[in-house]
Amino acid sequence: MNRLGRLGAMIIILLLAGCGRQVPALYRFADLPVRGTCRVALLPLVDKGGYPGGAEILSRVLLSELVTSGHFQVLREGDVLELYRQLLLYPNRQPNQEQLRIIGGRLGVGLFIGGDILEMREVKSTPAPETGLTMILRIYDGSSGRLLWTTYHRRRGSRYQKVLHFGRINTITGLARRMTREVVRLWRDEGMQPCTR
Amino acid sequence: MSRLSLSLCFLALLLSAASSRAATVAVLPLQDVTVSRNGVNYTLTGYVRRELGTRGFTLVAEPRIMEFLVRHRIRTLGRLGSHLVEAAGRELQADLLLQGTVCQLQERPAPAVSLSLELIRTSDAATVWANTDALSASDLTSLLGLNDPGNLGDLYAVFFPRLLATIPAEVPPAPEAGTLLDIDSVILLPRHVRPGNEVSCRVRIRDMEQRITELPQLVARVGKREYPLSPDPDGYYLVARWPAADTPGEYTVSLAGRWASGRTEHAVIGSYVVDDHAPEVQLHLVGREIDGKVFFSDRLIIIPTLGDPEPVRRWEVLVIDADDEVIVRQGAAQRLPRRLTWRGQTTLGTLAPDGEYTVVFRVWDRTGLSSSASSDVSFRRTPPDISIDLVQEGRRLTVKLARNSGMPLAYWWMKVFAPDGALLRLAEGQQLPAHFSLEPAGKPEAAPLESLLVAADILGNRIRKKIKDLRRISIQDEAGEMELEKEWLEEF
Repeated sequence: MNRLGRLGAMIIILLLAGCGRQVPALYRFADLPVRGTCRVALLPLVDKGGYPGGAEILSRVLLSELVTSGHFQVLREGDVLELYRQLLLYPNRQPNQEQLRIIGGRLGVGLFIGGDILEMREVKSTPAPETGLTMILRIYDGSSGRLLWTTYHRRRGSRYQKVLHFGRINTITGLARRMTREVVRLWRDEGMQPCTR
Repeated sequence: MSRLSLSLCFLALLLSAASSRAATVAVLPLQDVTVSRNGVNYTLTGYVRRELGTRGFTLVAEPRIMEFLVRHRIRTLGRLGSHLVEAAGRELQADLLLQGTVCQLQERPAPAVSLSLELIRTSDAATVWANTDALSASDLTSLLGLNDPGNLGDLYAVFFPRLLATIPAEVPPAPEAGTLLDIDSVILLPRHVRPGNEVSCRVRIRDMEQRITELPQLVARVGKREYPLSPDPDGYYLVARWPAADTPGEYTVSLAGRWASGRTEHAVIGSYVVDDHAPEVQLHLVGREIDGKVFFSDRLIIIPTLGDPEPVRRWEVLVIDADDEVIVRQGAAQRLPRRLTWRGQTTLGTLAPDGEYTVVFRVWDRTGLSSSASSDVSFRRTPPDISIDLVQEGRRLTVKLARNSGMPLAYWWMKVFAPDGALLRLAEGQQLPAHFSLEPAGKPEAAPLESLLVAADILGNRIRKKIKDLRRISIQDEAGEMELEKEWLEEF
């Protein structure tokens, strides 16, 4: 194989490797605490996706999935926002470690879950809308505010299509629900303990 | 069976009926983020209420819920805090509270709806059930297109039963919870403090006035030191004050409550930083550096930096002249500027004279400690002063140029034109003194020789002299014969 051919083959391999990245992808910075991970607080998400109400939608979906799938005790969003107000924090900004420690101490939180919406779109097209979501969800220790896990997930609604139009996800909420379910399942598989009933 | 037995059976039946009574649910109007963050959707709220009614729940009447929302001035739905949830339980006599958000709602091009619901137990404000569902007409498209939904009404018939299919018929009672430190607000000041200065901590416990006798013994804990909190004169806050430690660093403050039973509860309530050293500011002036000294003519770039970067409270820049008079004073209460530009003007707007100046930059950190840095600079705005001398030997003219004062030159050139406008001689160079010669045709006292001299120093100060008659410079003083040009003329 000549030099040009080898270069071409390498580019193709790299492209295929890029396409085949396993998502959701979990990056560990530290282990989860052994106890107390079932009491979680959702931090307001940082919305960089530009979809109207995107942060609220994903936040509600995440709450549903945590309550339904994992039996987690999710603290009231209103309580978290009240502390944001007291600490003079903007809801669209991520608190620093010290601020998380204070919020965690006040609410008795085991874990914080926050993150960024990098892309959120629902484009009208025929025969069905094109949906896409890219997000990063982060888990912080409730007592120290330290970053523990980061999870990256990216999907298109058409990714779930099986035969004809079956399986395709046609709403951004539906896609968010499916993706957060995959993320929560991954967290539980990796050792995040649900509440004992 | 005796009469007593019959009565007991009847009582037992009544008790069992009472224990299995349908839970009372207060359905809050749904937040509608498709409208705005404060949007409300009453139509879909009605659908949710009807669906819950079919599942045997007892619903709190809508007017009572509206009264509750008005009474508590609730402007944003879908995110009630624990205290409002518990208040709803008390005031509406509701076991459960249902709040939700309309995430998507569209009629065209394909009808779609998505909704998120959350069922909260009012006794402990815990979420006992939550579900988010979405449905698009595209999801229900069949192969032959028969009975496909055409509008939102068709979708609702499928959507709401599916959304509420998993809602629990019975909700377990809340577990027994001990008394908690119910902190309403904390004011810990200052955030940055010098060693020995006072730190004050004001804590308000929710409904403190009613619970003042039930409150635990409260202390603010910093490291191993404890400072008891006591009511302030207004009785609105519990206050503790203490001097900041001598050792610099960050100190975490936690609130400890000791109950009469012996139980102790802790909560981190904030932190402060003890800072004992002023920020180390460095000053960098960007100009033309000659022999280690900074010169400028047009603009001086001032770049302040901190050796150990930290947020600053305010900064100030001064320019002091050789007589120790401050000619520029500027500052701001904000972050350090990345760079400043001084164009040689005083604060009053006039141009400063050429001379030596000192630029002083001062910065205050969050504790009020300050430091400054200074640097000298030389302001030179006067263009080079060049003298022209002419020596005539027969037809031959020798032009002698010299620099009287000013900064070293970057370049100079001189053009001498014949009376008909033709270029007789072009001389140029980078240093003065210099001389050059020319031999114009015709008699010496004939028509004048027009000339143009341009020179610029290394700072960019430029002079441009138009000489009406070069010959007359040697005969009489150049006054009246030379003019300093201010307008741009064609040079080439």
